[in-house]
Amino acid sequence: MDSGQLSITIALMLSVFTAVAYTAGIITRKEHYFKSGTIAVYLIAAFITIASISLLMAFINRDFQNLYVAMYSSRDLPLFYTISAFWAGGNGSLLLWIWLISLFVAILVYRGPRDDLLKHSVVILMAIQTFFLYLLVFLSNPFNRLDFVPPDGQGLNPLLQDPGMVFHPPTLFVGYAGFFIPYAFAMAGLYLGNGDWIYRIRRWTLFSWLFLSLGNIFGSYWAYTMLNWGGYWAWDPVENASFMPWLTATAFFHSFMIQERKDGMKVWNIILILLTFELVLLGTLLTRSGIIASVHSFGQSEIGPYFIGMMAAVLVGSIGLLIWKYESLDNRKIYESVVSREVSFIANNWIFVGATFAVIWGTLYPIVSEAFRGYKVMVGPQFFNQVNVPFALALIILMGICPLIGWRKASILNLKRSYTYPAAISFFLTLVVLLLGGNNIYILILVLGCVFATATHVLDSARNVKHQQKTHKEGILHSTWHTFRDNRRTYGGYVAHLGMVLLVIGIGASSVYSQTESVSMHSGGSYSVGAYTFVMTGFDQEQLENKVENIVQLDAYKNGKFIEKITPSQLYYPKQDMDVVKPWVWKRPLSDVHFTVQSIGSGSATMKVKILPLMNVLWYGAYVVTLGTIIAITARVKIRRRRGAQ
Amino acid sequence: MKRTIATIHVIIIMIPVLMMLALPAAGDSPDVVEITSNLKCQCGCTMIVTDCNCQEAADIRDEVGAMVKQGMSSKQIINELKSTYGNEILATPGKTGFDLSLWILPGVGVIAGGLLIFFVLNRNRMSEDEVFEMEYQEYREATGSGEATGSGEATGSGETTGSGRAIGSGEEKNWLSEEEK
Repeated sequence: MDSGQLSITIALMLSVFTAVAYTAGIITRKEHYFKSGTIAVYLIAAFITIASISLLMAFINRDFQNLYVAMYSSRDLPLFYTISAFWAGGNGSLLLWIWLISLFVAILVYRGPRDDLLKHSVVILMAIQTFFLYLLVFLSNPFNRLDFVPPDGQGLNPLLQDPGMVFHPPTLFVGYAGFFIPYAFAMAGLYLGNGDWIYRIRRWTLFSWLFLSLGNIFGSYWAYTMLNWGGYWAWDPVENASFMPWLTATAFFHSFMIQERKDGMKVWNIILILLTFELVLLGTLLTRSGIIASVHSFGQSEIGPYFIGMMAAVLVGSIGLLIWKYESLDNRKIYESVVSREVSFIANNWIFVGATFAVIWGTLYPIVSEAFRGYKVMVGPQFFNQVNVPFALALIILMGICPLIGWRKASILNLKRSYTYPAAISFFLTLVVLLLGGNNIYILILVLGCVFATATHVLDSARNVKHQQKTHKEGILHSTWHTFRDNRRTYGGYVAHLGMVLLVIGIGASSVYSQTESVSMHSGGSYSVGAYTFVMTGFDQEQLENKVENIVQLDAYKNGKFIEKITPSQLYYPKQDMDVVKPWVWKRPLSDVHFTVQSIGSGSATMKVKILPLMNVLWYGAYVVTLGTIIAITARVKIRRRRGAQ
Repeated sequence: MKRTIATIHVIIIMIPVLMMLALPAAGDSPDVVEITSNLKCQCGCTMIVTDCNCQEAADIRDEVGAMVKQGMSSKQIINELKSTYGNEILATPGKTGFDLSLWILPGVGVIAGGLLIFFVLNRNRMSEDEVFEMEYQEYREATGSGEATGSGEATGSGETTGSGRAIGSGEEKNWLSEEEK
C-alpha cells in the first residue's frame, strides 16, 4: 500500500474517531474526549496533506502505474500542467476538496473558541468529511494501481492545458469547501438554540463567497480566452452548478444583516444556508454523475447515487431539526412598514431565490423531460438569458434603493433627501443614451439602474464623509479615510456593489452589442471593421513541446496606422490526435476583437471574428467586487444580544 | 410620497415577472446568428450552432443562411429544421405543449413566492406594543443601561440612514424601570 492510499485510509478512520470522540465529550462533558478529538482533527489534515503530496509526487515522477496519473498525464506534458493534472479528473478533485475541508476544520478548531457551538459543529463536519473520505477510499480512489507499468500516460485534455484551468478549479473548490462550515454552525446553533452561530460564520461565508466568485470569474476568463466560441458564460449545467450556491449565499449575507440587527429572519437564514449547502452537493452531483450532458462533466461515475442519498439525508435531517427547534428560535418580528430597508432586503432575497429557482428548473428540466416524455432536451442560453436578465435588472435597481432607505419606516424626508438627485441623474443619463441611439429596452433599464445605484452609493458616502468632517473638524482627506476605515463593512459592501455595477455593464454591452462574422481571407487580403483594418500577412508553424501550432498572421491597423500583430492559431496534439482552436483576443479599451480560426486552406483561412464591447469593464468589475469583499472581510462585527435571548 | 415609493417598490419587484412573461415572438427579419444561437450542434458537443467550429455546425449555418436568402421567416426556418433534424435541433425548447412549463414555472414560482412573503409579512407585522418594546430596548442599548451587547469587539456599522425617530423619553424610562422592579 503506498503512502497516499495509507494516508486516506487512516484519515477515514480518524474522521470516524473524531466524530465519536466529540459526541462522547458532548454527552459526558469530559474534556479528554475533546482533547483527543482535536488532536485527531489535526492528524486528519496532516494525513490528507501527505496523501495530496503523494499524488502530486506521483504526477511529477511520472508514476504511470497509478491509474489516475496514467489517465491524466503523459511524459511530454509540461511540469506546470503536470501539477494541475492533480485536479483534472474526478478522483483528484475529490481529494483536493477533502484536503481543503480538513484544513478548514483544523483552522476552525485551532482558532476556537472551543465552546459548545464549535464542538457540535465539529461533529457535523466530521460526519460530512467521513462521507467524502468513504467515497474517496472506496469509490473514487486516485491511488488505484495497475498491475503493469504503461510506457506512457494518456495525457491531459488539451483544453485543460491553460493557466486559467490551473486556477479555476482550486478556487471553486475553496468556495465549495468553505460553505461546509456555515452549514455546520447553522445546524449546531439551531440544535443548541444559540443564535451566535450567525456571527461566527460571517467571515467564512464571505471568504467562501469570494472564492466561489473568483472560481466563476477564472472559469469565464478561461472560456473566453481558450475556447473557440468567443463567450464567457454558456449556461452549461456545470456552470449553473457553481452559480446557484453563489446566488443563495449572496442572498444570505444580505438577510444576515436583518438577523444581526433585528433578531429576525432566523428561520429564513437557516433555510438559505441549508439551500446553499444542498446546491454545493447538487453541483458536485451534476459534475460527477453525468446525468446531464455538459462540456465539463467528468463522465459517468459511481458516486452519483451516494450524493443523491447524502442530499436527501441532509435535507430531511436539517428540516426535521428546524421543525423540532422552531419554537426555541425566538424569531422576532421585523416588519413595520413596506417602505423600509427591511422590506428592501426581503425583496432582494426574493429576487435572488427566484433566480436560483429559475436556474435550478432550467438545469434540471432535461431530467424532467426524460422522466415524463422519455427523451432529454437541451435547455440553452436563450432560456437562461430571458429568465435571468429581468432578475439582474431588478436587483440593480434595488441595489440603488437599499443603502439609502431608512430602517423600520422611512420618513418622507428620508426618501426625498435620498432619492431625488439619484433619480434625476439616472433618468437624465438614460435619456441621453436613448437620444444617442441606445434603443434596446434592456440596455436602457440597465443604464437607469446602474446610474441610480452608483449615485445613491456615492451620495451616501459623501454624506457620511461630510458628517465626519463636521463632527471631528477634520480635512476632507482625513475624514474620508476615517469614514472608510471605521466602516469597512459598509464600504466593503459599497465597493462590491460598484464592482457589480461594472460587471453587469460589461455583461450587458458585450451581450447586446456583440457582432459575429465569419471572414475568409487570402494572404494579403484585408478585413475592416469600424476604424480597424486587419491584413493577413501569412502563415507560420511552430513545433512545441507536446503540440504543433499552425498560426494565422494578421497585422492590425487603426486609421491606416500599424498597431499590433495578431496571431490566432490551431493547435494539433499528436498524443491525443486532437485539434484545438486557440483564439486571439485583441483587447482594446472599449471593445475586444475575438479571432478564432475555423479552417486553414492553401494560402487562405476562414476565421470567426467577434466584436465584444466593454469586456474590460466586466473584468475590472470582477476585480472591484473582489476588493470590496476583502475590505468587508477585514471588518469586525459587534455581537448584539437581546435581553433574555441567548 | 410614501405611496409613490411603495408603488416603485412593487414595480421593481414585478419587473422580473413581467419581463419573463413577455415572451418575444419570432422576428419579421430573420438573422442567421439569432436563429443559429438557438440551435443545438449535432456533433454531440452540447454547444450551440453559432459557437461550434465543427463541420456539422458550419453546414447548418449555411443551410440557415440559404433559407434566409430565400426570404423565409424565422418560424418557417425553425419548422423546416425541425422536420429535417427533429425537435432535438432546438437548443432551448419552444413555448408550446409540455415545454411551456419550462417557461411558465419560473414566473409562477416568483409570483407564488411573492404572495407567500406578502402573507407572512402581513401576519408578522409589529404591533404598537412590539414597536414600543423594541424602541425601549434600542434606547437601553444606546444608553448602556442593560446587558444588551456581547463581545465588545470593534464595530464597523456606521449607518446614518436610520428612521431618525426619537426614542426613550424620560417618561418611558421611568415606566420601564418600574416594570423592571
